[in-house]
Amino acid sequence: MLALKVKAVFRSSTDPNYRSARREFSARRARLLLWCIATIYSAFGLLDWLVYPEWIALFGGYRAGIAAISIFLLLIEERVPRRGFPKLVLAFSFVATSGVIVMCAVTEGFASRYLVGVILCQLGIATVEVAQPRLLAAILCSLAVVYAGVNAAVPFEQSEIISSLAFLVGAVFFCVACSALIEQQRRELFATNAELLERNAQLERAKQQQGKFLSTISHELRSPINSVLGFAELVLERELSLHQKSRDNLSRIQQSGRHLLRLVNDLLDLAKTEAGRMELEISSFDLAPLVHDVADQTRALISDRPVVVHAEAPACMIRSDPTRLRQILVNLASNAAKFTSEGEIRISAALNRDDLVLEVSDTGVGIADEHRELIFEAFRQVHRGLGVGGTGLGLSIVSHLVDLLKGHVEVESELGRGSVFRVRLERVVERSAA
Amino acid sequence: MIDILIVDDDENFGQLTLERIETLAWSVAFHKGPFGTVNAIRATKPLLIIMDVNMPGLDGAAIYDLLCKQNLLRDTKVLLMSSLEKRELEAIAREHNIHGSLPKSATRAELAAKIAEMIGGRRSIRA
Repeated sequence: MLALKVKAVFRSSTDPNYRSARREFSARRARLLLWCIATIYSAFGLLDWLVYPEWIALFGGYRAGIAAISIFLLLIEERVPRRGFPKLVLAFSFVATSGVIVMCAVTEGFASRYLVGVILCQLGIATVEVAQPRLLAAILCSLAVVYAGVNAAVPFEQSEIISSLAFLVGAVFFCVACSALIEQQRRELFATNAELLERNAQLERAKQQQGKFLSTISHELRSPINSVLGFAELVLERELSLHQKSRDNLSRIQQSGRHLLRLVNDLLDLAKTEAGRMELEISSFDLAPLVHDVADQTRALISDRPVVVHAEAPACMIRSDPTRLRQILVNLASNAAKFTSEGEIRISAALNRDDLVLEVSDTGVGIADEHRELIFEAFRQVHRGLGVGGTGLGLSIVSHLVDLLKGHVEVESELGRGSVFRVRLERVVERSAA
Repeated sequence: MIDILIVDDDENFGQLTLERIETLAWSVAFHKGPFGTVNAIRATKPLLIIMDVNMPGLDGAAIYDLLCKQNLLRDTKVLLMSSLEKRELEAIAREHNIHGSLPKSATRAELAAKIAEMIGGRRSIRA
């Protein structure tokens, strides 16, 4: 099993997408390597100047040449990207390292630990850079054999050479294993990314289909309701001789129809927000008329009860979605109207620098502490026993819309004394209309 | 020649709109669309077409584009009327440069106001 895995890693990938991504990755790494060579070779010139002042002309010239070629290769690649660029850079890095090996041989000999360090650096670069572990293995084994051959030919301290060689061979195996592991991880990461992209595309398609479905279903549900409401209105307007009982019945049809339409609209709004299909249309508008308009609508709802509706809003321009802001206020105010049998309902807007605070308070039945978290859940009606209508969707829609407008909603309430719903929207105040 | 032609695949809503407009004293006809709509427009030469959006096979916006290509809307305005959401309907109208839009949930008074806004000044020509 392990052997199969190792074989798979050492084999070239047949996935053209992976190979293409790998090429792009290698090109990026190669650019980085060139920048490193240009910087490190220049910086180590200082070390040569301090340690080997007698060789500075030769070593300095070599280092300057390597740095210049690195920058030249970078410039060339930027203008004319080439497919073989990473391999060219790798070969160049080996040539550059060979120069340093020669420097070591001249100054400290082949058994130098500095030389071993340089070769190790090269191994490290090759480990992360080479695309194919088998290529890396071949290069590094050749390097070790050459090193061993040179050491055998030149009479140095035997133990120094053996220990350096053993160290290098161990490093070679370690680097090849690392390279194989890195390659395996790259392939797995690429496969996971590809799967994620595919899943993402599937989700996007599903989302589009859901949006289309919502649009179609809303049209199909609303059409017959609109006809029912329209015909009822037509008969009520035209048939003046109609018996009072029949007129009352037609009014009930209208009432039920409007309720059904509201229910359908609420359900669709909820489905849309939950599916992330609710879109905002941000524009500048005057806040005061909107608040007073909502107050007027609320007065119509409680005309049969001793409840006073107060509205208060500063003259200011707001940058938000007027339709959704109205929907939030209407839902909160109609909720207040449902649960307030006497007293007052207050709909107000206040400014806090650039922020807007909308508040709907009432003197209604209030909400028990244990229910305060539940009221924003869909289909949740904590006062079901009071005989008021509704679907339990209004506050849930408010919560979703406030989230969509990047605000937050909070509630204060005392059972039997009333409730205050507060919506805060940040940075929506545009300028004073006054 | 008539003032207003209603094009809708929903006969109930077509009939409702027809009766609503009749009370406003415009001459009006209903065509069950979408098929045969172009011929109905050629035959009636209306001042205003009240057209549904979601119709099987060919939607209102596509019919509008077809009418524009055939140069049939030189003296005719189009009002999209649909059960789609108001802003969705307005977006379709904007996208296709259609003269106006109104949700089907509009009351008779709102419909009357919209018609008056679109062709009110031109009614005397045919009266």
